[in-house]
Amino acid sequence: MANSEMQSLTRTGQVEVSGWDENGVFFVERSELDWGEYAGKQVTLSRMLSEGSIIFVRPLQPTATHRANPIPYEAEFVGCSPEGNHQFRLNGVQPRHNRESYTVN
Amino acid sequence: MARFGMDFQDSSAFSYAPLPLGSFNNFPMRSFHNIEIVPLNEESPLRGLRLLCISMGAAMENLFGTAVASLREMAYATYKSVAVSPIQSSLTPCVFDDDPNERDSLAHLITDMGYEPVSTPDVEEALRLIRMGRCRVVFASTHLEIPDPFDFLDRALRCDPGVHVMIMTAQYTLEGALEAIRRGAADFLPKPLDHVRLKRTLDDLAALYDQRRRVRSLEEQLLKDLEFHGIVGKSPAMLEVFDFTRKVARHYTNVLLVGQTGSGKELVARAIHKISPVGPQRLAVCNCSAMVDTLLESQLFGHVRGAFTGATDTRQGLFEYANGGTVFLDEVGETSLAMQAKLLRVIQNREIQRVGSPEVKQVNVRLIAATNRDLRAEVLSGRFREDLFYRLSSIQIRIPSLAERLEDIPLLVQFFLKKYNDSYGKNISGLTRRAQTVLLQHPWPGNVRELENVISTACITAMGDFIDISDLPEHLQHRTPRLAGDEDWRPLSLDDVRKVHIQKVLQMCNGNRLRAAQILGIGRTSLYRYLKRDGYEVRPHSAGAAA
Repeated sequence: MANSEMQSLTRTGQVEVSGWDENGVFFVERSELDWGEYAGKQVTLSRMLSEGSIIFVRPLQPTATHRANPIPYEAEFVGCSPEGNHQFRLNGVQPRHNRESYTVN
Repeated sequence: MARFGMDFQDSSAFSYAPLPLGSFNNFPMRSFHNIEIVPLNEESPLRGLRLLCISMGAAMENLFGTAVASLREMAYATYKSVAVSPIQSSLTPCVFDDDPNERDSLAHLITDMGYEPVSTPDVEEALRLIRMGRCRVVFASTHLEIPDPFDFLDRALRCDPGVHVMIMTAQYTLEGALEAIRRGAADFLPKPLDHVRLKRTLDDLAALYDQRRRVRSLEEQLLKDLEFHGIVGKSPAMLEVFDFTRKVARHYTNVLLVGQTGSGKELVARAIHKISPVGPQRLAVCNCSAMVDTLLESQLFGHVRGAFTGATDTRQGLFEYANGGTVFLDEVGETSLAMQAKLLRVIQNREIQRVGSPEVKQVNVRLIAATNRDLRAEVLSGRFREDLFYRLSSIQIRIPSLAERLEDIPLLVQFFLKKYNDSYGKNISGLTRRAQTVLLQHPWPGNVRELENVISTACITAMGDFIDISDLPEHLQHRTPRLAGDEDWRPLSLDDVRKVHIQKVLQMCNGNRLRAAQILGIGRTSLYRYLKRDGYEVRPHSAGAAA
């Protein structure tokens, strides 16, 4: 599912970004997803985020049969755009698991 | 039922209450079926009874010594012969004791009672088992003379606030028992253990967990029954939305969905399309706020090659793409007046024109528009075309905000837990009671979308079987409860409130007093009277003049 969503992201570029900004205020913004081979995935937002905060990126796909799921990313601040917006690199997050083998006496 | 407040930060977990859980802040918590966190700073009749039993047991032990022990053995033999639990395998007790003889002895005893215990002398190993959710009940031996005899208890409850920790000690004191219970122990047992009491405790816990499993199974079924095309809700407000949607879907041409951002307008739009006669046909979704006018026009109506810089090929728009089906225009209130005129043409004549093309094409589409704005107010303020508004709003469905349907939160939590358990390969059973409390006290400005993000984040970070406060986004962990919409609240007098409100409405109407009076629901002369009273210059003959 994630792969197909990613493919469409490269086609449309339009995404809906939601999460909590540095003040803990929930936000929803539309943005363009820039996806370069070396720079990775990046979005530009009007607000600043806390370092390492998780944001959710949902592809806006006009012709999709189903509503796309929001995909979680860790936001890494890259810099400010000339317009004063904030650019973030999107790093994939892996859920923490507790399913480890264990031994008992 | 004890009251669960935000001020409670201790991690005491004693009992488990599947259904019903009583009420909290006047709304039911029937669907919550997780761990009950009992605040330690409040008096509870159950705790008092438990402490009384503890002290009586110790007193009996002191008074009658070995005679009581013999009686206990006899009572246990009788109890064991008649009390056979059918659900014993649902519980895995952990025996944590540094004395190998006592550890093995208790493990054998528990095995004899029909359970499958694990035992360890290692504190880290015991904590790891708790963290993994391997053990629901822990029998932890301690020595009261050591500096912090309840250190393990604290650490165990930090790992999993829902674990039942039974403290065992050979040096029973009433003070020790009280301290253990205060710090969150499920029970404080003097050694040697009373076998009858031990078995009853285990059986009660096993029954509780079995009951919880059954409740969860029933709730899963309920969730399926209450899901309406991917939308979850059992509140009267949502049931009304579902009902109206079903009725409207068969007959609509244009529908307007009104609701705050994140309340689920797109899901309702998809549901309307799906159950409409054109359900098998295409649905095109366009978010009008995400694009500038030129791009939006091209997206909706298409363009021909060379129509503008970068138009290297001819492309059909969403209205053509969805011909015979439905077009969903999200955030239609964000469109410009020029774009509204073009949309009106589609609605009135069902015809479109590609950008750069003189050809007019007929389309047969149903239209669903959505907005989070008050379009009536936008019309009055001149920012939205009145004719388009009336065309769109012939059928209007209002989606309630999450704050208006707090009773749906447990169901939504369950829905999202299932979704993200599947997505992330987790097996999280629910939320601790104190995490539930935090969710119920949050104002949810981002509505269901925000709740989904919270649960998704928690599913990523949670290590245990239950989501606790520490798994929630950081600002939720420390937020003091407040009511929705009270961010700017100040203790103003009624005259001041009226003055501020009139000014805001006038501002919204660009100073047009006639429109402002209509919005305020008062006559124009009344508005003049208020303005005069508030010290503004009033010229009655210039109705449209700025205030």
